[in-house]
Amino acid sequence: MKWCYVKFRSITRAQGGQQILNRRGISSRLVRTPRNIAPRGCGYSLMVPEENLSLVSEILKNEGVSFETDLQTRKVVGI
Amino acid sequence: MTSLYLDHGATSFPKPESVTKAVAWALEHCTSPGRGGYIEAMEGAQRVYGCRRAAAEMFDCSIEQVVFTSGCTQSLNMAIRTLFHPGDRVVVSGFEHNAVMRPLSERKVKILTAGNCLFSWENMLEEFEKILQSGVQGAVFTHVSNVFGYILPAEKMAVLCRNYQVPFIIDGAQSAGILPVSLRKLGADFIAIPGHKGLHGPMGTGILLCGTIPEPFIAGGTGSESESLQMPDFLPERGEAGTLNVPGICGLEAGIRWVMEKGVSHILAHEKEILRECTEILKGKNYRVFTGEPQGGVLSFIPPQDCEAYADALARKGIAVRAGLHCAPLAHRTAGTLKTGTVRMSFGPDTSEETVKKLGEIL
Repeated sequence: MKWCYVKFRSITRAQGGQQILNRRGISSRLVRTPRNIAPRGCGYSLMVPEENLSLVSEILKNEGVSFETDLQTRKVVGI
Repeated sequence: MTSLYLDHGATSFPKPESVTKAVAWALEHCTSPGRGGYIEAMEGAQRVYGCRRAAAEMFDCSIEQVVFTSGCTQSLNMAIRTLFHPGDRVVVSGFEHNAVMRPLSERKVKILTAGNCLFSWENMLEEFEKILQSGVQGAVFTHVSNVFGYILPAEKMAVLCRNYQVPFIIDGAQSAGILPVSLRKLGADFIAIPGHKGLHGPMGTGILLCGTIPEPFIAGGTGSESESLQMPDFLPERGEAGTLNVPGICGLEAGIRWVMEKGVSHILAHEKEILRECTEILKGKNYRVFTGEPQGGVLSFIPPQDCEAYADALARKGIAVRAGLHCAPLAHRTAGTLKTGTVRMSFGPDTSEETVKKLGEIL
């Protein structure tokens, strides 16, 4: 499965966004934003499956939550 | 060992068991929130968010408007430094604590005082509006006097400030957890709240409810936008540099939930009943007792001997009270008790009828 990053300026906003998605039955994973897609430095993102990205974006926009999406999809990194 | 604790105005004690457990749990399971992505860091972050959510629910605001501080004093300092500048004219009530007066004085503002009668809303509102009319850059007022328990007409004073478009700060040191406090309804720029008094959290915890973006009290790491040398311009990070007091915040959430379960109105009614009974005991001894309406669970009186010596005598009998000026010389000046000070008894949700009975017997 491919994943997208929904990026937030603060962990609190990311947590708020996750709560909204949870209420809509959409699961996501709260993670540190990968360094190469965090131009301002550290941050937090919600990882969502690629196929949910447009729905997630629409829900968060409707709720007035500010965020950025990283359209570059990624596979979860394994070690 | 103290057997009768009547100093809840200083800090609530003993803390609810759920608070103690939450602190211990955090020490074992949480690390620095907002810094890492591993289990313990995320657990810490989730607990911090949980406390923000509980506070937002209790104080009727958004989750991001809840900024954690080390206590009400830091909250007030941050608010005052944000709103006021040297030379500003700032109106305060005649019942302010030094946590308000010293930061204002340090800020070199001109302080104007409104309200010189205990338990008189009419006097307070009339003088307050007169000063607002004369032109001020801001207002700061306590919700409840920490010396006399006098509940000020905060809602009406807030309306006046809004009508005159004057930014204002409310000191909720003695009201949070005892009276309903709504940031949305009051429309304050800031409301400062201690975590360890009416919310029953650990000492070293506090909240600044932000209706306005504050200037940072300290600068440093926030775990966000690290490339910038400026503090973030958004809440709550702008007010929260450095590692948060996660064990304290976990305890605070437990305290807030404990209060919500009991119900603020129930707590106030209980404390007022205890206050009434203690007033009768003290009046029966012909002490000068400061009572009136509306009054929260704080009661001041003047015994025949020096108030500190009297409190010391009570301490030796296992009764914890506070004596002196209670860090609020302005309130004493207003009430005419600056020279003597007072002995203060302050009550909590768990102060029992049995405690009052024992107090009566000892006195």
